Amino acid sequence: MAETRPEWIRADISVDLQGESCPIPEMTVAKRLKNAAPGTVIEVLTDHQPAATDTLPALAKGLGYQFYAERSGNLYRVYIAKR
Amino acid sequence: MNSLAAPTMLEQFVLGYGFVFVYAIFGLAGFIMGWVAQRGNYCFVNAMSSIYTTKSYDRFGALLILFGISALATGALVAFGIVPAVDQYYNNFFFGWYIIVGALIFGFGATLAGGCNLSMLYRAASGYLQNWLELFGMMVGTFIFAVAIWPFQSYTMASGILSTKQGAYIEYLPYDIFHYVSSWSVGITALLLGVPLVALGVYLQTKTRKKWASFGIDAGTPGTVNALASPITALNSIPTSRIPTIKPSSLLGRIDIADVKNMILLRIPYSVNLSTGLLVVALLMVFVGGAGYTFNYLVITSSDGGRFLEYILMPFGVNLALGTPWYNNALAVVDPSVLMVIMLIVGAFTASLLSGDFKIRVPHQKRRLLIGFLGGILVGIGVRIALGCNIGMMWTNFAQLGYDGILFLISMLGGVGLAIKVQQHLV
Repeated sequence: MAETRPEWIRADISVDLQGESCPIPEMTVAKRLKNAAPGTVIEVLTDHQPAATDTLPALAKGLGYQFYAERSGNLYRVYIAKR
Repeated sequence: MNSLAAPTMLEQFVLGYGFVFVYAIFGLAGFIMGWVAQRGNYCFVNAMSSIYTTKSYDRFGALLILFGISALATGALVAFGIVPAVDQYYNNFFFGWYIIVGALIFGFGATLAGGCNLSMLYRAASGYLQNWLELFGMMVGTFIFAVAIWPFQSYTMASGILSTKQGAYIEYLPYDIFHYVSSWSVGITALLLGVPLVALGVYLQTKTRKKWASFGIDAGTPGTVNALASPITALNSIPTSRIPTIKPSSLLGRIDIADVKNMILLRIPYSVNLSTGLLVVALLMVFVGGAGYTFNYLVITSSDGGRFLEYILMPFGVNLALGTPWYNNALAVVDPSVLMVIMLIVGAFTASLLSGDFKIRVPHQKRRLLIGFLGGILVGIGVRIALGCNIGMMWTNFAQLGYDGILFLISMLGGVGLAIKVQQHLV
């Protein structure tokens, strides 16, 4: 069944990383998260599947931040909420 | 098998396969590798860079499991007499300064370029322009190595300057440890090498997942990707009423029937440990299929990739093999390993296309293309100095029960770490 889209999903900051591959997405997002205020939600646009299914989730999980991703074709929208 | 106090270097055509069979096995193994690596997003550089960037040991743990199972499986095949020991140690390389220096340069360059010698190929086949430039850079780097470094390096190797001089069974751990090659010495060595690697890999994965679980995150479970409500036109279109859950790192976690179905239908990537298992199968196909022909590089990608320049120049009347160092004593133009690399690319392209993942990807920052090319040059130089890449040297050497792979791994980790430091100033 489809998962309900969490209520916290929004785009305080949007980062377009289409065309970029590892390790650029996770490094870029880590830097943006570091400089963001707590509560900020970062939206990441990526067409690099490992970023959406592996490295960004690992980054979020390692920091204890909320993570959510959506897919349309080979475009992924990834949301990470800084605590 | 018979015990061998003084190991033979003679080829033993014990299995006696014809070359048609050998080519078919290598081609199929290459296809499987390309397919699985693409579906599992299997990248050695990513496995290592994640340690630095996301503090995750999940994929690095999988890498150690890959090496450990490979050592155990090939060791068992030799110990039980299915494949002769000579096929395992015949192409064990020398050890020297070049392994450490080369792996460091390779790790650095591959991280800058965005792909190891496996992911470079399957990502190029998936439409990543940066990896095409990395591949071209690797060809250029191979040529630079051939004319500027190889004459010096080969002199040090021949003279034993910071280098062993013999390779083969001299670098074969069963011989080094027991001074005797026999079924029991090979079996025990495989256990000594493989079990700790697998145990460490499982430990690192478990530790990482426990850390993740400790945060108790619920919404949008990491690793879960939900299809958008908007129409999806890709071949792997996912009905929004049936959202697959991706568990990229399922080892200890459950994989249910729906996961299996979605993996088969190419809707979700293969889990990293499933990919690990399938890659070992492909490696064993080569090990058994090539038995008796001393193709025990097992898997090789960098030599052939680097020599693409030689193939490209041939129609223009330039034959590097005739007068250029390294090229003139490298592999034959057409051999099973070349076929394997070609089929690896074909397998990755097919998986990419059928899963809807294929797309020509151009980085927004055009300097990434230049970095990809320059990184590729370093990859070409690094792998040739190290006598092989993360596949043909590191992974293969673990399966060959050598020790070069261990040193390659440590040095490559250093190179990846250095590149991450540099990249932090570029993002």
